Amino acid sequence: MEMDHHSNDSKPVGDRQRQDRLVRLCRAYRLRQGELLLRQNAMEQRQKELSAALIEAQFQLGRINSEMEEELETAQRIQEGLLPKELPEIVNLKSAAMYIPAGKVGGDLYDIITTPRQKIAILIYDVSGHGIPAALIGAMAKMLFAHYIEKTDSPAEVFHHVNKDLCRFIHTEQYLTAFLGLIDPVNNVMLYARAGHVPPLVFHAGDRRVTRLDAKGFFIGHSALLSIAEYCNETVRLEPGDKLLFYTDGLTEGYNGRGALYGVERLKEAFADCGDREVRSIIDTIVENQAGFREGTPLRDDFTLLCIQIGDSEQLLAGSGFSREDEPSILVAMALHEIDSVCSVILREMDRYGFTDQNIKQFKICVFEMMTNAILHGNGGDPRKKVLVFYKVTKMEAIISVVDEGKGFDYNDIPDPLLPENRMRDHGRGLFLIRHYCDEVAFNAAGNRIMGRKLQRRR
Amino acid sequence: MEITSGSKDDFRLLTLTGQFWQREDMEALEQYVSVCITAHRPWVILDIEGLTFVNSQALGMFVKLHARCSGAGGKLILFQPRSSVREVIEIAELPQFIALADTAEELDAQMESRGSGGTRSR
Repeated sequence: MEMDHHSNDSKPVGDRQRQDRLVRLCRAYRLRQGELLLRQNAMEQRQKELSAALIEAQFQLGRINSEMEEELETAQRIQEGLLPKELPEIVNLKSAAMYIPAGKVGGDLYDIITTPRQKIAILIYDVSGHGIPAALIGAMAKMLFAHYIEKTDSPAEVFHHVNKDLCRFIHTEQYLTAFLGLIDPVNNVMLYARAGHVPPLVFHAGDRRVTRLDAKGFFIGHSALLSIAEYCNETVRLEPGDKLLFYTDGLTEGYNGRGALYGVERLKEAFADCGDREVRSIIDTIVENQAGFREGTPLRDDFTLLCIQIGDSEQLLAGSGFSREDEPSILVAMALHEIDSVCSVILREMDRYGFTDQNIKQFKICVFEMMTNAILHGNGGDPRKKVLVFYKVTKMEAIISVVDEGKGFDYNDIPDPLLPENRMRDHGRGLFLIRHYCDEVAFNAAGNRIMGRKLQRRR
Repeated sequence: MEITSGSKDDFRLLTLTGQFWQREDMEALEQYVSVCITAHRPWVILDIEGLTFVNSQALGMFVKLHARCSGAGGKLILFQPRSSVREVIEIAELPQFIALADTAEELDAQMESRGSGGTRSR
């Protein structure tokens, strides 16, 4: 077929149709291309928007994460702040404790408190859950326990009150388990109650047996259990050298790589093996034993260990001038700044028994003088040495016995401060004041114990 | 214990409040009196009405400050102790040689008589 290149009109019909078709196709292509370009632009725009949104979301997530971490760190600091910085010096008892964290904020807490009636309260508790709620409930519980321990020497009663109060404030599913023992350090008896906590263990030094301190009692703070929560006191007689092991369930619930549980029986075996060691060594040994069992498997829960060794109360009393039948109370001081608080305990007792204000003020001077002499002169100001203060107050009299760890002194060799040659001396009036204000003053042969008796004189 | 410082005529007036038995308080009080002595003004009134408790070391400090003031040609006056503190001061027989005043009139009289010794006791 011959083609006419000069005029479309002159083209054959078939060619025109083809050309028209091509033109249409071109137009359609351009149109489509334009659409695609627009769509591509829109997609690019959308991609940019999504990228920006993703960056923003990542930023927000990072901020939330950092806030959460900060809050968890705060919770951890709160929990650490609730644990005793160091265990107090306790008469006739030795103690050691260890808290093993499990990488998150836990709810384990413990405390040792001397009650106003000179019992030693050993408290351990474990708040369910972790993080800030556990730390908050732990803080609340610590204050409530301290408040009620001061008011009563009945652990069951303490649990009853703390449970009632916490149920009023906790409206979540959280709760706590607790064990509270009140040790009488003179008679070596512990009154205790359990609130769903793992029973502590006792290593009996006489026959190396390990027994559990069981008692009935529900969790604390779970309002659903409030109506049925009952606690009961149990008593255990302890002997010199016996050890008490308080712990939280994170210890016995440690698993090894094969899924086996450490468990109470392994703990009892470990405790029986090391029970005759010092309290610190017992804790270290048990922590090592559990870690050895886990073979590197991470802990699922934090745990706490608190070990108490019972001393020889007979030996303690032998040097006091009191007998067991006298049932004296015991206080301890190691530094001058502790005198005031020790003195307050004795004077409150005198006030309770109706001693006159004047008698109390006079006896205060005696207690101060005896303790100052014991700390400064008896113990030579050595902060590692103890001054034991035994006292007994009745309606008739107040008796105090102050014993130091020094070599003693000759109490007959103290110059009379009223003699003209002594009156300008700036020391030497302490014993003079004690003798003046006490109705009876006695020393032991070694000269490291002074006993004073003040009779009640009513106006 | 709190120590506040003022003056009454030629005397430095130191007012003591609280319990007086801690070593730091004794050191602080001695420091105040040392300043007076160093400044050649060893006339000091200790207003001890606010003291609720003194022990034997506090008594010893009164004796020491009295000795330092009188040694420098001055005087230390214990002013208006409350009954429980006064009782301890009297048992130790400090008023035998340290001036003690219970009222403003007695204080004025003690200030006028610049002799250092104790002048009265009940």
